[in-house]
Amino acid sequence: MRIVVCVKQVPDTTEVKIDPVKNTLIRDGVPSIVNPFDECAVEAALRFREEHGGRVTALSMGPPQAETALRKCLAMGADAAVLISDRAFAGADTLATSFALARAVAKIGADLIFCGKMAIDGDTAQVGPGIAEHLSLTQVTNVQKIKEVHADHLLVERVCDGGYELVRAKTPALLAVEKTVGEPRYPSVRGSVLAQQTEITKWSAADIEAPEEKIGLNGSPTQVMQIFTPETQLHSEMLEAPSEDALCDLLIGKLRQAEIL
Amino acid sequence: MLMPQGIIFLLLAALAAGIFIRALRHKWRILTLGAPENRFDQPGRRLKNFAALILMQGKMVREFYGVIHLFIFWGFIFILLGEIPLLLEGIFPNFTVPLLGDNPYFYLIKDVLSLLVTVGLFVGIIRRWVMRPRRLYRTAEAALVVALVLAVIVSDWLIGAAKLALAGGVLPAFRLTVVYPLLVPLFAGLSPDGIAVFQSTMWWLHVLVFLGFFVYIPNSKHLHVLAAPLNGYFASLTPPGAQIKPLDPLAAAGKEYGVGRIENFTWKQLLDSFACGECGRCLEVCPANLSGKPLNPKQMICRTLKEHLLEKGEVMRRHDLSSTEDLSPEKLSALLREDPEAAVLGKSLLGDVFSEDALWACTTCGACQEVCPVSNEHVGKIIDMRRFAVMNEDRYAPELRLAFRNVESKFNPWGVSWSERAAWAKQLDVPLWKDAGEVEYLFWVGCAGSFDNSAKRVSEAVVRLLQAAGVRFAILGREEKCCGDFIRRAGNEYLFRLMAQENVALLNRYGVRKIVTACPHCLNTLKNEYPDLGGRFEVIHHTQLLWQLVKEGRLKLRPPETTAPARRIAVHDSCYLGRCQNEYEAPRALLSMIPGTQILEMERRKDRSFCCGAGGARMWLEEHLGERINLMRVRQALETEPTTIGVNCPYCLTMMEDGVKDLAPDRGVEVADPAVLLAQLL
Repeated sequence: MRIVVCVKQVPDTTEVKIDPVKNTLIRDGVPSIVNPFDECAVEAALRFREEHGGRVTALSMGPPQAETALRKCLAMGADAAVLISDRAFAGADTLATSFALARAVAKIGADLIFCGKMAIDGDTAQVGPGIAEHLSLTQVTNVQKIKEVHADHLLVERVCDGGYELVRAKTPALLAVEKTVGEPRYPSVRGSVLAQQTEITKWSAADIEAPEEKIGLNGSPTQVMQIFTPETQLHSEMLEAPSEDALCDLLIGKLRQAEIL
Repeated sequence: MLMPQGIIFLLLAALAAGIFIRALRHKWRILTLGAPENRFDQPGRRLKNFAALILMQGKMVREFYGVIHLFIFWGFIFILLGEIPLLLEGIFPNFTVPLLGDNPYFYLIKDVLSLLVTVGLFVGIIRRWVMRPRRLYRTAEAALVVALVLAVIVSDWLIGAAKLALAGGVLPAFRLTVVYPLLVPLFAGLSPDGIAVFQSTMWWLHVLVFLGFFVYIPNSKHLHVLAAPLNGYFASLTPPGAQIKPLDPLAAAGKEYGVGRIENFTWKQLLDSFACGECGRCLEVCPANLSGKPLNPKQMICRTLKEHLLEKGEVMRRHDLSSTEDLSPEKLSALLREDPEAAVLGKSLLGDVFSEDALWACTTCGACQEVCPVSNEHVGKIIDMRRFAVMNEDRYAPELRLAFRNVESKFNPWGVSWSERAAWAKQLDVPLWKDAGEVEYLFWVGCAGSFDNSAKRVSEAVVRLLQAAGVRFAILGREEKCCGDFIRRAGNEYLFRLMAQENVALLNRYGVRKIVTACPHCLNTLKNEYPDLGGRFEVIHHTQLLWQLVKEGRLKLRPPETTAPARRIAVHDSCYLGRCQNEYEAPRALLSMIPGTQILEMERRKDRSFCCGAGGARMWLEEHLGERINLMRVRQALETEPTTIGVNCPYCLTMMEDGVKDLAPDRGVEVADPAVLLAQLL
């Protein structure tokens, strides 16, 4: 079984603040981490390998320093890592990103692809499904468990409102996982050291034969114009009245005035 | 001209020497299985150590029974010297050994020491077999050694007395002795021939006992008499907090991490087992052992590791193996077919020989090493084996894994967001180093001082006191990361280096020279462990700096307006400020400044202080076995009936506070750092 896990390096956004003046993320001194959902995807891939065999390749698109995220995957136990990195990829939206990743997946060759359900910096949850579409693969999003593995299909649990669906998915398939798929393992020291010494394959746009018009800014129908903190206006007013009934009347009057009632 | 008895003696002596040398060679071959370690530097300092620890018995004489050992040590040397004339004159009756054989002062010293040794041996017998302290073993081996020494002394007395009797009671060499003349009357009524026969019989008996003892030494626990002096010379020259060996996990990637097989200890670590005199001082001070945990520092050194070393070393030498690291299962089973004893080669040091519960019980408080008279290094062995468990086997407690993970992602073991690291200082007007301009000190806050509620109050107090004294200082804020103390002591050298290297790089980039910290663990790591990674700083504890400021008149305190009720402060010395930095005065001096204070000393104090139970990564491990160490320590403190327990380490603060809550929730005993109490007087 050839397994590919797609991971993204993101700023540790649990700690990130938005600069109130420039309306951009304050990245100064903020460490980069593997997107937490992707870490769970790696965990899911490793558990799959442990039960059913196979080879796990971690794949990422990003600047050269995204190597660190891939080393984390290697430390956890991935067998190989591929970084697609090229200035031509810059400015890619989710469509162009998923296109480039799909090319890389095709080049690696995969029977099963794991992704996190979304990245914590963009929150779009579009890249995983995009990869599946570009490769015309089965896709299941919000996966929390792989229940059964058969020769030509999987039975997976997919989280939905109030419960989960059991989905039969024809393989090859792409699974975008929830955090509930499994707590990511803490890498052993041996694993971490080995990861430092493992060669990471680096491919450019040319290496994956990605046409220029489909990647980066050129391949992106959407662009981020501005990041800002939405303005929230809070007005508060304490109501006081001699009795409860009077207080209720007062409140109803106010709500009518504000056209809420 | 040699008499026949001379020839027999020489044959016997040659035989004994042969057996002695053979046994020593065997021990040497086992010892040299150990890994290399350079303990040959700085001979001057080593000789000084040797003189203080061995010749003066510096650590021995700190207790009454140790004084007896001092007599036994020097008695042994003079008795040995006395053997030269005694034996030579037995073979060549007309020969006198110059400087010794005719020297009345030599015989005087030897005589007095022999008496003291005899008295000492009887005290020892009573102590070991009648008083039966837990720290001593009552083995047949111990009894045999006592008997042999007594036999050597008594037979010498009888030989000397016979010699004196034959000389008519007057011998210039013996004129200052006490015992020989006292025994002369025993021979009253015997003919000179009879006395001569007795003397010669005694002489042969003495020779047999002496040679027997000689042969027995290298094959018994009394190898101690040969190995302990070596251990004194090769004793570590670094302070106790700086003894953990550096290890670069990346450079050592192909090898086994830590020590998971006995031969991977260094030769010095192995020599410790031979040097051990089984006195059990370490046992009496070990908080893990005293709280009923399975760690027994004495047993570890002189039984568990030693017996395994001798057994495995013997088999390894027999099969010409210098390491078992590459011993394949096939090779092992091949060896087993021809030699059933080769089974020992397959034993794992951790688990089969030394238990993991014992391994993780150590708080690295260093009390065992502090009291060890032969300079054994217990803690380093524990760390080495922990490294094997954590780095090589990936086998350790889940709560420790969580602490590691927290440090890796949040840079502190508490797991609080790293961006909140300086939140405690928001109201205090403390500059960040990067914006501070010209400052003298970096205040290294540490994880506890940043995130633990009680320790944060200490950080605030330190800030207010330093500001009051006009010290220019700054903090790193969010840029500070866990120093790595507990990580290193938990055996995770990989994560330790990750943290330490980032901290060192930052501190060097900022040109930091002087650091003050309220955490003795940070203090030790920054001062003693960062130099290996290129970080050289002058680091002091806040109590040291504050006391210095008081002495310089820079820190002035306002006496309280109302007379506060008298404070009775029991002083608890932390291991890492005390034994590691040898600082006991500053905290006491600061506490004494509080009006109406009475300082209370506990029985276990200063260099004999009892750990709070949180050192050596124990802060981050559950305490499943035995009694809780912090409760024991709080009980010791409460015995002095304090109103306050004075601490100087954030770990101690937490542990003692918890203990007080458990044991005396209603007594209103406060646990406080001196800084917090002093800041109230600003």
